[in-house]
Amino acid sequence: MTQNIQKTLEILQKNTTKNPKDSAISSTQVENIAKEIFIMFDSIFDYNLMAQLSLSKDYKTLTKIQQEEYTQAFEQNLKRSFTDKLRLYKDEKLEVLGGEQPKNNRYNLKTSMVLDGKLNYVIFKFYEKEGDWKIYDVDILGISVIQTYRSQFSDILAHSDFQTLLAKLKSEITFESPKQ
Amino acid sequence: MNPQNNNLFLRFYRAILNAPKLTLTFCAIIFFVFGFFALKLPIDASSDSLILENDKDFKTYDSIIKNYTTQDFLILALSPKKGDVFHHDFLTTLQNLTNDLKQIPQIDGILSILNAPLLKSAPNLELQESLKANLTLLSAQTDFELAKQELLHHPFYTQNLISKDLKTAGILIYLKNNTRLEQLRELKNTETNESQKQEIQKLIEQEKGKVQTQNDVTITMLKNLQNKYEGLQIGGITLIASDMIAYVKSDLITYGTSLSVILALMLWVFFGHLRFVFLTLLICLFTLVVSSGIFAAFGFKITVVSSNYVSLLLIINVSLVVHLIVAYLEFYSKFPKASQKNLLYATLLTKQMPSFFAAFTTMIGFLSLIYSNILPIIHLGIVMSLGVSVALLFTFVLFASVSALLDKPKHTTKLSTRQQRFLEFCANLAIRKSKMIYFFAILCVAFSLYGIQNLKVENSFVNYFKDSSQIKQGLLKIDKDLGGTVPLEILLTFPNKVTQSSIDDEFEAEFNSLESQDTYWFDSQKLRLAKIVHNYLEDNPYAGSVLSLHSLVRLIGNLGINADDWTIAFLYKNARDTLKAQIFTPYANLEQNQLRFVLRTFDSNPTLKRNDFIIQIRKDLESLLQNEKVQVQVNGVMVLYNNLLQNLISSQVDTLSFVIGIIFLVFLWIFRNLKLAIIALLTNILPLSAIFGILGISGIPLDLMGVTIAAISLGIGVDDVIHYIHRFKAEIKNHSLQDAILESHDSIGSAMYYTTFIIVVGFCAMMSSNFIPTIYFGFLTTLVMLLMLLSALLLLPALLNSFCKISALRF
Repeated sequence: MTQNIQKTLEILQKNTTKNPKDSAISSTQVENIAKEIFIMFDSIFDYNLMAQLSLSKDYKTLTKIQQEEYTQAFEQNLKRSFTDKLRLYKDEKLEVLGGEQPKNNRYNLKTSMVLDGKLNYVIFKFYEKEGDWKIYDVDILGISVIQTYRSQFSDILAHSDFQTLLAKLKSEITFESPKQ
Repeated sequence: MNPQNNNLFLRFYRAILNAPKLTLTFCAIIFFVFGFFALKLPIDASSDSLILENDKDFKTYDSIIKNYTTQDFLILALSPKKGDVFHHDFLTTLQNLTNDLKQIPQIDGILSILNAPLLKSAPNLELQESLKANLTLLSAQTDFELAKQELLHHPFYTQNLISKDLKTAGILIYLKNNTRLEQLRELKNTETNESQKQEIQKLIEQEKGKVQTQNDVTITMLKNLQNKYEGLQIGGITLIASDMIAYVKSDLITYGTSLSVILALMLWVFFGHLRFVFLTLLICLFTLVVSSGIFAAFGFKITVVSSNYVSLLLIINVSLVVHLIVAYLEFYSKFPKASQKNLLYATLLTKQMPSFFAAFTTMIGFLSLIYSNILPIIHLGIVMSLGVSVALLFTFVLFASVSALLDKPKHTTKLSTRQQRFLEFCANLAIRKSKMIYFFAILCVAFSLYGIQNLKVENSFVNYFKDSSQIKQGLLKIDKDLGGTVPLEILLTFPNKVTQSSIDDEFEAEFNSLESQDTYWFDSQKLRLAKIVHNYLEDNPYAGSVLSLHSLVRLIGNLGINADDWTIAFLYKNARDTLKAQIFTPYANLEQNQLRFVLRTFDSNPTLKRNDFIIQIRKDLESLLQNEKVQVQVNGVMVLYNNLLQNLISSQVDTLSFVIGIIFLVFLWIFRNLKLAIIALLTNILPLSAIFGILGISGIPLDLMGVTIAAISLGIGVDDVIHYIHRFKAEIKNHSLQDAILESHDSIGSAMYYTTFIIVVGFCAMMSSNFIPTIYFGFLTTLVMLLMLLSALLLLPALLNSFCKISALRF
């Protein structure tokens, strides 16, 4: 476990040190950094579980094929949104503060950024899976990514069917993204 | 009359006539004591004073005020002399105006295009930097052209700070909240002890009085600025309330004075004696002061509606005195050698019963207003019933005691031959051409029935004021160019989410608990519904400025950021309290699980049918949101006011049926004859229904004052009929039916003629008011009183002649 955490810390720190203080970075740079993060994070993010959690109880009502299709779309969407999010806070310095273990099988890795003179946190939430540690949610500036997905999905499914959700997931639904 | 009663009254009159000075001293003490209270009679024209008693919507309205800390505000509008609002000269003027406004102590904040925060008008700054820099139109880093565009398309500013055509700039002025008033209201809500509650209510009233005074001062200072800044207009509900009070006050003084002058002149013309002029005015003044003192002692307030009590009481009182004077003069001309005391005894004894019944029926007319459900009208009812009792008692006491101190007049004035000829003509017409009179009466009924079906209650605040008045011009400009006037509020209440306890999945439980946190309150459903409702409201042609959570979404959208759940949650968590207070708290209440939409309606739009508009909005929203499990409430000043207006017709029916029923019973009691009672009632109801016919056909809306006309007119109009039939029954004992009619016309007809003309001229004075409902009230009452006189002089004798038998009346 410690090994994995250490690895994550290293990844994060490596990335944050790449981001020199007080310097603006271009959109391409942001995308590159994001890509790099995702390449390194891919093994740590449990996209499958995150997709399931975002759909809550509705996930179980899907067929196997639908589940796969959905999970894939979800992963794409998450990555796209995450990249956009980085752009919003590009000039802030990310620092790893350490972690806390709310439960035996949970670990929250806390990183911080100073935004507008105020200390804000990005928390990577890990859970233990077969002796390994995987990320199941990320709190960005105090807002859970999965929770915001859950709110959107449940609202869509309350009025439309799965296909609509899938279509929206592929096009409309994003986190905020500054329009170019 | 029963002799025992007569004996009792005789003793009472003897006491007065034997000791007139003592009686007058006693009256003077009463006058000064109540005069002291009368000086403290408060005037209230707040929107609270214009609500239905027990209106369930008021509870919701009250909760809105509590849950969404609202601040009273005024809107100023200023237009540039040349160019648009961004012209350099105009911006300088606006800056000067802002500096002048800052000198007014009651103003808490000023928002105009000069200090409105801008977010995307500095091309070289990122969003966060713009936020930090607190950019405004005149900041060094601001690109002027970008700023113009941002202001014009800003969801919070357009139609509030800037008109769509750029020709008018709005300046929002927030008034300081009275924290003590808020504390007291809070205290009252938590207090369980009733007597304590009442004590707190008293303090609340005091505090409200202070707020009103402060608002008046602020408005006066703003009006002074109108001299300095040409074309500066003022608007807002606070102004309407303040100006209504000003009108009420000025009307109280103007009509009190002008009515007194007119009455004095007419009395002098009719009776030719200064003593009768002064006597009448003295009695009226006494009644007014004592009644006002009683109202103040009871804790009543004068509202826009009850302000009419001054003129009403004056008129009713004059009519009581005139009947006494006419009777006195009649006795005097018949028995010129009788002593003053005996003349007075005879006058008082003859007039006591008809005067009592006349006052009694007038009181019933006013008491019927208690059934209106509308607080200011109820107050008017109570105030007038009390006033009429005071008038009846003291008219007799003062008339007797003052006259006892004076010698008999040296000469008497008779009605001019022209007037007498007119009365004779009426009597002859009634006797000879009754069929023609009935034909016109039936025509009148048909006219009324047609008109009544077209009665409407459409009232707009803007139209309460004359076209030429400055307040109307200001209200109109702000209404048309700066997003409307009367606020309407929509509340969407979401059900509290029930966490499913059966979820044993650890992750599900974790996210369910997360969901209940405030940050996640702004979820997709709420944002989606905010958009649906906001867009729907905005599309309504009667809706001006619309503000809601969706305005925030648009604002963020304008910045090029997609406002989804995450962004809103992020903003809510990270926004400074001051920003939160501007963009979140007025439109979302997390504790109540509620979204709020505030819109201002175009009050001056002549096609706006308020009731239909509110019903349509309710219906549309319910259908738009039918699958959403949310509760929709439509509220705000507009709804409260509409409830009141809608209640007018039903309360008119209630009060009228009550007053007609009771007056019929009183007629039966007085006349002890069913036929006479029916005839008397018909004589009064016919002119009254004609008024409703006129209202319906002319399109004059029934308003708060108009609704009182029927009861008031019936109450006053009945007097003529009572006096007439009383006299007629006396005459019929010695005369034939037709002679009795001629005699009655000759004697009592003149008193009716005098009183009606005095009343009519008095009400005509009201037509010079600046307040449109007062003008309508004066006009309609004048008309109804003339019709009532005509009905009493023509229809009544015609009916008596056609349907009454002498044998049945001589008992």
